[in-house]
Amino acid sequence: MRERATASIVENLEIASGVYRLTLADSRGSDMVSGIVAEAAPGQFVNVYLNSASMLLPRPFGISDVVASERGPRLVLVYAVVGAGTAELSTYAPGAAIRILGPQGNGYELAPLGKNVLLIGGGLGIPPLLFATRRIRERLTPGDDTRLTALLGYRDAPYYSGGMGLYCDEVFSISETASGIGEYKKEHEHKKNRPFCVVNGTVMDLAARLVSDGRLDLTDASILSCGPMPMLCAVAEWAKSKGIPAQVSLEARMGCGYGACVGCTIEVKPAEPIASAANTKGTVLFVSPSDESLTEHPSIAQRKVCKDGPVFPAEAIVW
Amino acid sequence: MDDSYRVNICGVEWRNPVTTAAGTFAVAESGKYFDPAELGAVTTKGVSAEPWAGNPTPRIAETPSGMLNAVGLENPGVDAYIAGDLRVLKDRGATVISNVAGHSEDEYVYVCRRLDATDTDMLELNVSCPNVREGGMAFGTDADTLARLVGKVRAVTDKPLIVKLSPNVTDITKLAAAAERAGADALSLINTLLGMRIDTRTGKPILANITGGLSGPAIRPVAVRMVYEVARSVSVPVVGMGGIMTGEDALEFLLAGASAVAVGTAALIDPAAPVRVARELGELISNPQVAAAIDAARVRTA
Ligand SMILES: Cc1cc2nc3c(=O)[nH]c(=O)nc-3n(C[C@H](O)[C@H](O)[C@H](O)COP(=O)(O)OP(=O)(O)OC[C@H]3O[C@@H](n4cnc5c(N)ncnc54)[C@H](O)[C@@H]3O)c2cc1C
Ligand SMILES: Cc1cc2nc3c(=O)[nH]c(=O)nc-3n(C[C@H](O)[C@H](O)[C@H](O)COP(=O)(O)O)c2cc1C
Ligand code: FES
Repeated sequence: MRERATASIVENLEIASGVYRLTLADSRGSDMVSGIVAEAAPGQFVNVYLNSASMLLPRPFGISDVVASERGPRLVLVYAVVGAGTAELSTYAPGAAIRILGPQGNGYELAPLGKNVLLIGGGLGIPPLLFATRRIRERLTPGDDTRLTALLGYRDAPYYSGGMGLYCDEVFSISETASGIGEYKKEHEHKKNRPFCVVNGTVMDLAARLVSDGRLDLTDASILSCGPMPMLCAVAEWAKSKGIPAQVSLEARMGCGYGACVGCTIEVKPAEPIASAANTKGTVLFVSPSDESLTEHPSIAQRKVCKDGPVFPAEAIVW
Repeated sequence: MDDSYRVNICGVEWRNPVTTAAGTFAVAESGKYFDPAELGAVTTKGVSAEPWAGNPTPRIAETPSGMLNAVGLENPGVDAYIAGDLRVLKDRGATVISNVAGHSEDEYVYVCRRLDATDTDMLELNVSCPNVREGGMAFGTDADTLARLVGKVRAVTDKPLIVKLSPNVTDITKLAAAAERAGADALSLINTLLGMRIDTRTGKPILANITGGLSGPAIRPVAVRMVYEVARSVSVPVVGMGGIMTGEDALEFLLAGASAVAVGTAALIDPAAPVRVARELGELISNPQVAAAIDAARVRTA
C-alpha cells in the first residue's frame, strides 16, 4: 500500500466561478499519481492534505479523471472553494507539491447496468460522474444499444456538461438560479449531443419534467448519482418510486479518510436481507474487496463512508 | 526496524517506546500502511461489554492545528474484539494494549475479566472519554470514584494495568495518585480535552454531539505539562501522548518524564505516522547526549 506522498501540481485553473480543476502528476521520487491512474475506479476519491500546519484533516475529492498522457500520468480533481481549506488550495501554483493519498474507498458497480443508464449529478458531483460515464461508454461493445442519459443540476452556470456530451446520448441540464422561464432552452443546438438547459429548478424537477414530456425512457434503467446529500436523498426517493436501482456517492465529514477513526459513518438498513439492485445482479452488499476487518458487528447497522463507500446502493441507506 | 531502544513498561518488553493512541488505529486499515509488530505496542480502540453504536454524525470537526471528535466509542463489543482484532494482532506478533470502555463499574470489570483470559499483553482503562454520557470521563474526574473502579478491576486481573487519565481536571496529580494507590501499574495521558465548535453560518454546533474531544498538536503543550507534573509525582511509568507528530515531539514527552509515547491524531492524517515517529525517535536517541538527557529525566522524576 502506498503511503501518503507528494504529487506535483500541473494546473490549478478556475473553470467556472469558484470552481477549479486541479491536475496532478508524479513528483520526483513519488509514484502516487501513477498508482492512482493505474488503479482508480470511478466513484473512488483522493485525500488531499493542505500545506498549512493548522489545517490537518484530509480534504476528500472525487476522482474526476485519470489520464495516461504522453508526458506521464495525470490525475484530475475538480473542486469548489467553499471554506478555508479549498481557498488555500486554490492559491497553490503549478509546480508546487501537495500530499495526497489514494485511491480511497469503493466506486460504482459499472456492470451490468441495464439498457437505460441515467447519470444524475449535482454541482461538484458532476466531474466525478464524468469519469464513470467515460468508463461505461468505453466498455460498451459495438452494437450495444445501452443509452446513457445525463441529468445535471447546477446552482448557477453549467460546467462539464459539454464533457458529458462526449459520452452520453443525451444531456439535460438545469440551474437553480439562472433567470428565465421553465422552458427547454435549446443551447448548443449545433452540437451533436445537444445539452438542453431547463432553468429554475433542481435536477429532480428536471427528471419529473422529462418523464411527463415522455423524453425519458425508464425501461430496464439504472441510476448512478453523485452530488450533495439532499439531492441524493431525492434521487433515492425518486428511484424507489420508479423501481429503478440507484447507486449514490455519499458525502461525510472525515477525520482520516482511510477507515481508522470511525468518524464518517452512515446508518444502513440491517445488512442481511437487502434485496438491492447490486444484490440481484450477483454482487454482495458491503463486503469491500479489501475486507479483512473483523471489527464490524451485525447489530451495528453503520458503515464507513470512506472505506465501505462512498458509493452505496441507495436502498441500503437510512435516509 | 532498529531494536536498540527497547523499553520495559511494567514487565512488558516494547521494542521501541512508541504505541498507537487508542481509537486512531484500526487493524485492517492501519495494517495496510505498517506492520503493527514494528511498534513497541499497538493500543486498540475502546471496547465495551456489548456493541456500542456511538454518536450521531457529524462526529468530526477540524480546529486550528487539531480536531474535535465525538465518535462516542463505537465498537463491536468485547467478544467480537477478542475473536477478531485481538486474534489478528497477536497472530501478527504485535504487543497489544487493549483499551477498555464502560458505562458502569460492572461493565469495566466484566470487560477486563474477559480480556484477562486472553493473550492481550496489557489493559488500558479509558476513564477519560468525554464523548459518552454515562461512564467514561465521569470515572476519571473524581479521585474516589476512580480509585474504587481501579481497585475493582485490579481484583479481577493480573495483566499489567494502565489507567488513562483525563486532562479535564483541575489537578491531574490527584487522579494520578489515586490510580496508583488503587493498583495501576502505569498511567497514560492525556486523553482529549473537552471542546466545542460552532458554525457561524448556521449558528449551530458542528458536532451532532455538540461537544467533542480536542486532539492534535494544539494540545501538545498541555499534554507535556501534565506528563511532567504526573511523572514526578508517581513512581509508576507514564505513557505520554497529545499531538505527537514527529520524533522530536515524542522526545519532548520523554524529556518530560514519560517512559513511552503514543501517536494518535498524527496517524489519522498520515497513516504511517506511528512507525515514522518511532524511526525518527530512534535516530534522535542514537545520539548519546540525547539518550543521557532522557535517562536524567527518568531519574529526576523517579
Ligand atoms: C467522498 C467525497 C468526495 C468529494 N468530492 C468532491 C469533489 O469532487 N469536489 C468538491 O469540490 N468537493 C468534494 N467533496 C466535498 C469536499 O471534500 C469539501 O468541500 C471540502 O473538504 C471542504 O474543505 P474546506 O476546507 O474548504 O471547507 P471547511 O468547511 O473549511 O472544512 C472544514 C472541515 O470540514 C470538512 N468538510 C467541509 N465540507 C465538507 C463536505 N461537503 N464533505 C465532506 N467534508 C467536508 C473539510 O474536509 C474539513 O475537514 C467531497 C466530499 C466527499 C466526502
Ligand atoms: C478519533 C479518536 C478516537 C479516540 N478514541 C479513543 C478511545 O477509544 N479510547 C481512548 O482511551 N482514547 C481515545 N482517543 C484519545 C486518544 O487515544 C488520545 O489520547 C488523544 O487523541 C490525544 O493524542 P493525539 O493528540 O496524538 O491524538 C481517541 C482520539 C481520537 C482523535
Ligand atoms: S474518515 Fe476516518 S473512518 Fe472514515
